[in-house]
Amino acid sequence: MVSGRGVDEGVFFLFWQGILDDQFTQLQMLQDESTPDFLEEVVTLFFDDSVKLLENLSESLKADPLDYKVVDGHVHQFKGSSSSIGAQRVMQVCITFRHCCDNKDKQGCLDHLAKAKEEFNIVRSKLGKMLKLEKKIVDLGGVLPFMDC
Amino acid sequence: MEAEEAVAARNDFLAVMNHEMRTPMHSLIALTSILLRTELDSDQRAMIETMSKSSGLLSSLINDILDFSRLETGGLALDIGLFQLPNLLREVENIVRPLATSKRISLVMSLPPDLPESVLGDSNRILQVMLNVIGNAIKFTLEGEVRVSVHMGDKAPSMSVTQKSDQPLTPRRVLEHRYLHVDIIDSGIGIKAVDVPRLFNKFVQADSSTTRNFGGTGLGLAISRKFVELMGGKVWLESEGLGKGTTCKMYISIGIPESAKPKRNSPRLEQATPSELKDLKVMVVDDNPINRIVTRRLLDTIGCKSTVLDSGQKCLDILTEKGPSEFQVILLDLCMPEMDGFAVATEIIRKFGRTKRPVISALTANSDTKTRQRCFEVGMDYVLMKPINLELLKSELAKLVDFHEEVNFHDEFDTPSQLASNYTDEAGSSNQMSRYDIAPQPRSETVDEGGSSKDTSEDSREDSPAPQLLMPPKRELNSNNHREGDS
Repeated sequence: MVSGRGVDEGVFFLFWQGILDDQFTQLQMLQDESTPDFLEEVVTLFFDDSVKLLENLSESLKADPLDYKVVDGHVHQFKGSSSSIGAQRVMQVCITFRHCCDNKDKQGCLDHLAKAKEEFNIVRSKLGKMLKLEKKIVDLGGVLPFMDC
Repeated sequence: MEAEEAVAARNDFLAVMNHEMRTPMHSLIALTSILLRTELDSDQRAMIETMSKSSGLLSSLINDILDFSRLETGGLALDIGLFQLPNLLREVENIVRPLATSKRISLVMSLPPDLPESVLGDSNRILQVMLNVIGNAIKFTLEGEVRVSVHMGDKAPSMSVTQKSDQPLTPRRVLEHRYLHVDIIDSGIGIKAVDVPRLFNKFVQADSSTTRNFGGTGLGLAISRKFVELMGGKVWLESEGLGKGTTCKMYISIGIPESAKPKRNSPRLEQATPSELKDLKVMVVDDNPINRIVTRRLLDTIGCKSTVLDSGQKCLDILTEKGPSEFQVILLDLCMPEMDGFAVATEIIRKFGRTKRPVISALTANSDTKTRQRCFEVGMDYVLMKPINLELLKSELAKLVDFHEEVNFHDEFDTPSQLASNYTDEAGSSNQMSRYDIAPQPRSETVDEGGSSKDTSEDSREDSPAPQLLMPPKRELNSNNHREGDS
């Protein structure tokens, strides 16, 4: 029998470290037999969308003069997406990133961009692995364990 | 202290003797069974059969004593696993039926149709207990019948159990615990009322003649009770007296695992959608693709009919094309490029009037007071915070539906209406901000050739938000869903 223990421990770790929050559990609840790929779909979209947003952010921070409104717009988008996914640490970076935009703090913005990339890479790596494992379990006829937040 | 030490010493002794006693017993049992397969004369066969029976009984006694000792000290844990309940009950019947048949007594086992197939429990101990109590019923019935009735009872509290290997069970795998009831009614010798409470004590039988006439050690019921109690249950006997038969009743807690229910890879338990939300037409406007996909899925899950758009302009185009009454609710993101949510709401109200239009709710991550106030000023009816979860969206949509009906019912009014705005500030406390006395605006509408209505009241001002008429208390909803927001 395929064990979901690896998934169980992986998910727990992601929650325990604050990488994911309860919103992710809410998304899991939206997946059922009629939409078996919902979670994968939305997470994949988040990954793809975030890569573009981070590229846009990098470009906008190179502009001279720097348009903080444009930067803020991208950060706002990234904050919204990460919040909807439950990528808690990414979202928290975005919140303080916006303060830097409000304060027209270029160095702060650059530091936060680096931090946002770092946190995004962490969640992309760990969540990506977990979803692959979940898919394997489901394909083999297993049952997934679910976290209670 | 001394008594505890004595009990501990006894148990240590028994644990050692466990191995010392069982080894020769096993040899005895094995060798007698081999001997029985050899050529023996009738006397030899009779003697070996007696030896076999005696060694079997002695082995059972040793097992019972050791089991009981471990049960008393809590050293015996249940061996929880998945098993097929109907199969176990069939096995019980297969074992006890020959006993009943040999005594020419009727054995009736009735099982309910709703018996779960796969359950979680200690199948060996459940078998042991059932064999003990049913075996007793048959043993103490000389003629007549033994009826065994099994049925599922109420939900039981979740039990935290560990397997022998100390691997905790994943509680998620058990959806619920329920009681399994087993009643055994016999037409046997019955029990004197005074003896009933004693019978579950170790080494007790009804009286000295019981051992002589029926055999047994008197440990069976005591062990059964211990196991039943370990399984979260109870066992007891009822009898109206000697010669009037006995009823043994027991119940234990068993787990109904996830695999016994339709397999689903979602933690969501299906709950009925309120009827007013079924097919509710909701428009969602959000420039963020993740938000759109999540909100759409939320609405689809609830049973609403959603139209999801990525810009305010598209929202206005659809409303113009299909008419404002096509939708009951609009969920509007605020921060959108080109046309933000405030502008969209203003345009909707300007174009379609204050009634006979969808309820407009902001769906925003901005939790600050200024944002909320501005939402109401431009004519929005509600403010919802995102991200929003399934249950909260259901309950808030139900309120929006009520609000929609109220708004669309009241077309005209003669008296001034007092408006109280309620909102919560960032600290989460309720605050009554202000009251407005609103004079009714004479409202006239013309319907253009396209079929959409237009407010042609004298005081209609296209550039500023229209005063709000007949406004129920505005509330910021799901404030406990509020996440850290920007100012």
